[in-house]
Amino acid sequence: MAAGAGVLVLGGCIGSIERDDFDDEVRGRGGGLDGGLLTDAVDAIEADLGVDELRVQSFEVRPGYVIVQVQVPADPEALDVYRFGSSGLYGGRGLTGPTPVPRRADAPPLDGLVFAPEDAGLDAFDDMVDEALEVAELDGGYATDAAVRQAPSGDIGPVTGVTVTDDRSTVVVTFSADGTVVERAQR
Amino acid sequence: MTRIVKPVVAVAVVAAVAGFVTLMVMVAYPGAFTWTAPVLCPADQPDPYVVRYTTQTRDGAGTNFTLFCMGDHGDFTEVGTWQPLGVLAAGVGAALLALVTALAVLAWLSRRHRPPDSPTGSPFDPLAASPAGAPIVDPPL
Repeated sequence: MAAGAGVLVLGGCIGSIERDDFDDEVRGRGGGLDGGLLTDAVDAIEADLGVDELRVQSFEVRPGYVIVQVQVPADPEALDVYRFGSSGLYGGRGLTGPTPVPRRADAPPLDGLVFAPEDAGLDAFDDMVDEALEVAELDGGYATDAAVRQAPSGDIGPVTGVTVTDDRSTVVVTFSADGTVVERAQR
Repeated sequence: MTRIVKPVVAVAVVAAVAGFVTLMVMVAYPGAFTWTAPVLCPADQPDPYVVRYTTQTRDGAGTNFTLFCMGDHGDFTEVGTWQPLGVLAAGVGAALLALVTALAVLAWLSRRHRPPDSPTGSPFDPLAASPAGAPIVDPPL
């Protein structure tokens, strides 16, 4: 009886892996940041709002999900945040939100901070992550997260910053919307 | 009426057996979820992983299994538990249904090709085998 139960328990694990091992596999392949999530998130939010043209303040991309701050169509000085994911185990599946974002009274006008998703080079996101892994030159490095937002200065439009780490060093590689490396900063 | 009831009962029995077999397979080998990857995983995330994780329930801790599909860059989508179970059960059910159908066809064919019973008795009956009106004579010793 005990032997049978032991076989059953042992059998119950065969062919499956722990979540930590799954995370190791994701990191081993580069980190799991997915450009497809960005475009899917835009489609889902546009459908939720019933608009064709979204204005976004930022995308924050992590393995399995993306957080999007969106200008509220009916109130141009208000922001809502959405989350869109591909896994219940990693931050939730599908679209959740909107949740209002508090803003200070003296915050700068949103019109100078928001951008149209099609101007941010989202289609080139996966290539940017691949190039960031090369440019970072970290042995065994993987991309932990990325952010797409309006460049803090200049008129180059939205930029994408990809964070690469090897657990000892961290490098942020920044790209313009056309995929050109704008900056490599070690932190 | 029997013509309708019989197939319905057969399908119900096959579905129940398929569900039971699928559950038993999953208990013994959770990796069986990966067999459903060709159906459930996106083309750009073809590599299946069955991830186990612990959840807290009212009765204590429990272990869940969920199917993930992974792409070349580590990008992933969680398919979940119920979809792979459903696909596995459908596969097992289809196999059982094919088996039952094959057996039914074989039985029907064997019935169809069985020689009909002779109205005058066995074909080995010497009386039936003799030409009509011919006297039956014992062969000379």
